Amino acid sequence: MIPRPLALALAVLVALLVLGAGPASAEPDADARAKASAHFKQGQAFFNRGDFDHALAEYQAAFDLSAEPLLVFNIALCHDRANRPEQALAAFRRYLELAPNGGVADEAREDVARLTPIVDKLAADRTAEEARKREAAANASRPPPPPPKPLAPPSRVPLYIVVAGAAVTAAGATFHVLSSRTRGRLEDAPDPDSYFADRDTFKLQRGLAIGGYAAGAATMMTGLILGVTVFRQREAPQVSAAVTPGGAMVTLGWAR
Amino acid sequence: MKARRMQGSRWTPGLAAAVMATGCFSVPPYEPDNAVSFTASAAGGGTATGAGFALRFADGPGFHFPDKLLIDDADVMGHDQAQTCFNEDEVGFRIVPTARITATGAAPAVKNLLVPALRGPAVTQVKLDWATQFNCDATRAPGGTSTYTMFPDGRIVRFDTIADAVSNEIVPSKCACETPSRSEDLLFTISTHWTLARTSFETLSFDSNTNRLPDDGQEVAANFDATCIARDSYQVAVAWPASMASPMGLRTATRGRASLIEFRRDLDLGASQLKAFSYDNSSAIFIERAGCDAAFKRANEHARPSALTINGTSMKPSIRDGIYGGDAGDGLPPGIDLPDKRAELSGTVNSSFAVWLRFPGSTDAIHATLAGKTGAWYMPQQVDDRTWIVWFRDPIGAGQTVTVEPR
Repeated sequence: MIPRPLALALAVLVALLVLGAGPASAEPDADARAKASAHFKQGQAFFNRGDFDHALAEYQAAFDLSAEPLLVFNIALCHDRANRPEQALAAFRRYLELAPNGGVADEAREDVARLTPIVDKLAADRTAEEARKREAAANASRPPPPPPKPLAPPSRVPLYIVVAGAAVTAAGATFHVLSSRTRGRLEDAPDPDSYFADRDTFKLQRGLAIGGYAAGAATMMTGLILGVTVFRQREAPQVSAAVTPGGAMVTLGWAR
Repeated sequence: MKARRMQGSRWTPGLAAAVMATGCFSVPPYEPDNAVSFTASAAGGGTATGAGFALRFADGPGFHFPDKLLIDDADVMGHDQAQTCFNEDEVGFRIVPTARITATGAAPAVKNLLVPALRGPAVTQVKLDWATQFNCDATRAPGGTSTYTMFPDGRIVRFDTIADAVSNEIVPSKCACETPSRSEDLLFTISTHWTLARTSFETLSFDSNTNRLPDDGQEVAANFDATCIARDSYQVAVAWPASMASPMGLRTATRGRASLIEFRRDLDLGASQLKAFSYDNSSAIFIERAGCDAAFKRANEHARPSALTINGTSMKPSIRDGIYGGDAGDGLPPGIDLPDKRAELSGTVNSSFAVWLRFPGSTDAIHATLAGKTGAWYMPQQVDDRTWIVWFRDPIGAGQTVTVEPR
């Protein structure tokens, strides 16, 4: 089997020689053929060295002088070897237009079949890239997003609850102190009447002390729990209070 | 166990704080300066304490009968363990000629349980369930209950039951703890006694005279209901209810010993054999500071108690605890029922006295009134949610009416 570039070279050379032997009125003149043959040979030399761009230029010059379709085929090969599939596909198709029944028409069709999906994918990629660039350009032209809203200050509701609990606890402690004093009198009661009177007082103060401690502790604990759970978020319930001549109002707001 | 101990020590501060807090919130009981109280000891005995006096019940394996009577912190009880084994010593019983039944006596204790029944402030009462066993016949195990009821003014009422239901006959010669030197001690005699230290007293009164203390072996004051042994700073009267004297065969006597003075009441069986028997006896001692006349006045209220009218019903104090409405010995709970939630007390009682009242419902506090009286003239003590004992410091006279009602 003859290598593809060599076969082409032979085919083109033969074609140029044949052309040179044809009638002058309908064919390029001999000088043009000679120049075309020289460009062809120079192109072959570049091609064989892998210098496809110079080879393509020589082939193009030869084609311009000779109009030999096989040179278009060679031009397509140069584009193909130079990894320019779109130009290669276009050249192969041009060759088939010029010589649908040419000697390498079948080979050109195979190349067209091979390159067509590649070129289509390149086109699709290019289209997508252009769309992305258009999107980027469009985004670049949009106004910047607004800055985030400033966060609300931390809620003071837990603090208020803890303070209220502390106040209730303090009240319980006050009654505790009072009950301790009353208890001291109970222990030294001089007579039963004063004992029973102080005992009633002591029981009342003791109840208020225990109740104050219990309610205060529960309230403070509630405040602490709320402080580390619900009210830990910035967007937490807000409490506001207003006192008017007509009454008082407490508002609980929850910003979402 | 080590881990448990460590855990316990870790929690100790918290527990201590909790206990302190709990104690801080507890209602302190009414405990005036002259209140009586009882403190049990870990060894089975205990001490009943009042203002200026205390009666200690013995610890240890011996009977938990009293072994000390403290007046102004000095023990005035008689102690003479070197004497004849069946003679009186301290406080207890004798079944002559067997070993005396006292805290340090030689009689074996087969039952010996001291239980506080009332803990003050007005009345402290402890009961000693005891039993012994004769060395001559193991089936004979006499025993009983001695109840000591103490009041704030130094009145100590003692009630004894002693019985033996077994009828096996025993004879003194085989049961004597030592050979009696007196012929009368070869006959069984059951006796209950108090003894006081000779060195703690100076005089003895049982009639209109003030006598010196009886000599060793000298017996005086036979069948007197009350006697008073005294020194300058304090006096002690001993009383025996007249209602339990003859014809029941009971005889009171006071006798001097080398180091003590004995006060006893005998059940003279006069028998050379001892069959089943039962013997109850009441006595009381009164610690006084104002002289024997005042002591006699109080002692006579035990020997011949005055009647008190409570809501129209005249009654005398219980011979068992000295309290109006107290233990009647009928197995029913003490207390005078007050269907109207109110007690009106009238009559003449020549000494301090106490009443045991039961209100119809739960009563948390009570109040007593008597015209012209204020302050600590009475002392309440709650027994249970409905029942109260009220001790009145002063006598009550004709025309006076004390009212007790819920507060």
